[in-house]
Amino acid sequence: MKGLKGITLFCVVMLLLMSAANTFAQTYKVAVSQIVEHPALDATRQGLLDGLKAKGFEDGKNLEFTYQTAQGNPAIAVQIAKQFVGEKPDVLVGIATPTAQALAASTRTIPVIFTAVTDPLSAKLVKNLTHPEGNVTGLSDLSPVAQHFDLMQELVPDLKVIGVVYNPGEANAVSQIELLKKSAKAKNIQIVEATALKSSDVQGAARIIASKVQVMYALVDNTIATAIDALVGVANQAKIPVVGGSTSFVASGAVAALGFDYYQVGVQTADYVEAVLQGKKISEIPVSFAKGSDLFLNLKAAEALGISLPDAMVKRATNLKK
Amino acid sequence: MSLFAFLGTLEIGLIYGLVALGVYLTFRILDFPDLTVDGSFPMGGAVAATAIVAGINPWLATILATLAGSCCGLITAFLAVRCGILHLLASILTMIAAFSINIRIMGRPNMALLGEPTIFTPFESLGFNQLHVHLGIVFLLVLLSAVFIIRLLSSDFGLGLRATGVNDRMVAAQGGNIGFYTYFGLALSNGFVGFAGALFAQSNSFADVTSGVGTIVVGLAAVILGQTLLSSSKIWVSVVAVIVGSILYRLAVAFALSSGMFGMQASDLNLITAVLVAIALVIPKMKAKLRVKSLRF
Amino acid sequence: MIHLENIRITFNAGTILENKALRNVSLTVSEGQFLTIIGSNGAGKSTLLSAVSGETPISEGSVEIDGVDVSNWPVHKRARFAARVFQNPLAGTCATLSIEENMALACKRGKSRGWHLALSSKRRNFFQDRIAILGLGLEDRLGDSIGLLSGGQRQAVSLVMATLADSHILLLDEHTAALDPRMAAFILELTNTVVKEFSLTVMMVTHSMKDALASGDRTIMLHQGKIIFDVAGEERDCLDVPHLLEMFSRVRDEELADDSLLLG
Repeated sequence: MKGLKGITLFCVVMLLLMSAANTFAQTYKVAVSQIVEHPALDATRQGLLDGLKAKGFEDGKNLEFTYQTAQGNPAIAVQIAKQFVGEKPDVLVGIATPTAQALAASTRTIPVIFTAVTDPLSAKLVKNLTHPEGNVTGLSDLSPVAQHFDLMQELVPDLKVIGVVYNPGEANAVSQIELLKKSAKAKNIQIVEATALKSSDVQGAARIIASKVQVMYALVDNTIATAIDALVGVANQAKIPVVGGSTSFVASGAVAALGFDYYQVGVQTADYVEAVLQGKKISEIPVSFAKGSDLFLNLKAAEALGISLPDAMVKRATNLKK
Repeated sequence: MSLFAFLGTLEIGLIYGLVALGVYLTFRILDFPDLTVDGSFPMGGAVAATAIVAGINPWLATILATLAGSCCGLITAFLAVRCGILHLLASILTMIAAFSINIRIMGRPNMALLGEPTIFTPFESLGFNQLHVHLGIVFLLVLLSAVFIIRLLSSDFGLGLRATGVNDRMVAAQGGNIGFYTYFGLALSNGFVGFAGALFAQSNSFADVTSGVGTIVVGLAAVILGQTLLSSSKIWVSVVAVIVGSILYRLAVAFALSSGMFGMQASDLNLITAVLVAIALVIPKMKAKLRVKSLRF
Repeated sequence: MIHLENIRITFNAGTILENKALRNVSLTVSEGQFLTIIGSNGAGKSTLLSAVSGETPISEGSVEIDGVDVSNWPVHKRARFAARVFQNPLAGTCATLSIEENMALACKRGKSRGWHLALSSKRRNFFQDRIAILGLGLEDRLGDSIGLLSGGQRQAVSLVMATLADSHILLLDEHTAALDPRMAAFILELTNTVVKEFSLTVMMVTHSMKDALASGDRTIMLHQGKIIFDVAGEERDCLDVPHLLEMFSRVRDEELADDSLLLG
């Protein structure tokens, strides 16, 4: 019976808090749900915040910017979605696939902008890329895998074997692997893959394949992003370069990376949020693919591996790390 | 917390209440620490999503998902009973195998159900509020499951099941087949978890292989929390308690998410879970101490 | 009827710890017989009982109960023939279940357990009648957890539980050894009452030579895995404890003599 009393008390307290939390403000409310905290996704969020500021929406002034991370747990992502939808913000932003899905499933009315989602069609977020039908649209970060392929060939002229470590549990990684295999088949190059289900497995997986390959491809994968230092470490020992799909990898010692600066992806996402806040209809905002592929080169890493970077490549690089 | 968030939290709490029931069956009734649930929960979602996308009736898909969960339990039981592998290890083996199988089932790590028919759609199309429909149906299904479990555990067979976790030598002496009870209990437990996975996927319109991570911790937290608040030797109280525990756990999570409240944020969740479970474990000891004190004075 | 034919049980066979617990034991306990089994520690008394119940697999020989060869049956299948009461009062009952739930478990011993409610009012009445024999007032506490009872009380309930299903063989494994003397005497008396009332066939292992002679109608003594003597009827009636001790030491001396011969 004591337990019952405790529960009743608990519920009463909860109800009181619920009513207290319902405060209204005369500002735009943007709620951001992110699946997990890692540098690329954090940069996206920061880019969004800064992008909005540049457009005149400043957090704390005329913008209420709420943010939660689900710690990689889809059940929490769902709870965050319910929480946000209940707070009735003007725009919901889902960073990465499961969070965007959870938001889209929780509301049919509040606009949902997704970002950093590789394949919005198979994630069923939209049925039509040019004319989204429901309340969902956003920005895809489909990695330019074919371009990465060319980059690797440019870097290693007699390229025969590419090594890649990825997490088969991540939707983004799987679609990139498919694209990579397609390119490889067309050019008769062998792909040696190793899987890592968690970031602590990356080092071991990389060690297994490092000696058999000429270049290590670090695709855009949350698991790899977390363990990029380990991957680069193994590649350095094996004296092979790492080519990455995310420019943030260069700072960790990848020789070259062609990708989005995820900060810029966030800034581009701000365009979507602005359009919705200005009252534009979702069906008039087509899904787009993140622009501005940046080429980052790490001259120091190249030198350490004894690789001379082609002049043409150095010339078109947007960022050189010396 | 808004009403929408509150109802949404209730729904997730109820769905995970099925997980808690499963964990209660293995940890408490059978005394078999079973981590298979981390694999059977996403498997339920994967099977339901794949079946629905393939055009199978959502109710049938849900039943298939439940059976898939049961199969995970049977495999763990086989490894433990027949192959003599330590129960904890046997369940970990099934759990990690299930991860690969789930990706095979769906053909990819994430499968979306947005716009697909689910067990909820017929009622939604009648014009009811989506959240109310979800909550209502989930509540009914959890209620039916709870009644089923209570009735089962009150039967002759259920009594054997309950005794197995406490005194297996006595059960054997009374003619009960311990091996069979273990198979049955694990299949039932993981069946519930697979069922929960199927409901989760349909309610939230996606199945994701990563949705299994930490299922066991959440289930265990619910069982411990519920049974500490509502402790009784009566089966129906225990069953209700674990479901209540699951709802309370989700409310605690929602608390943490209510932006700005007590300065907590979602990344504090693991800490909150640990603190909740620790408190729930300490309370019974404190109660016992108080009792001793009151006797002394 | 229980028939053991040339039972041989060896623990850790082929290792340095090899222990021949039973060496070619043959024994027939006829219908309605109350056999008491004595012997020193490690003589094989309990092993003999678990060869019947199935808890210890036999290395050689055969076990027959009521004319059925059960040598390869698992414990739970053999349970339909025989009820057991263990030495440890905690072993024979399930602590977290109530008294009536324990009894419900026992009344289905050896039968299939189904969806039926374990506790019906009919069953409760039946349990109340049966447990009232004990005179411990437990009939009013059927809903209490059995873990609340003392060891002696639990042992008494175990004995009642052994009579609920309709088998007629009872295996008692030093079932009074863990109790205080007064409770032990009560349980032994209760055992005799129950055995008589339900005309049971009994194998009772005991540490106490006095008890072994006072109860039952046949006594065997085990030593180093063999039956060294087997008495019944008038011969047994004349025996007392000093007598038994003397017989025991005589047998042991003979064996020592054998050994010394072998060594010599």
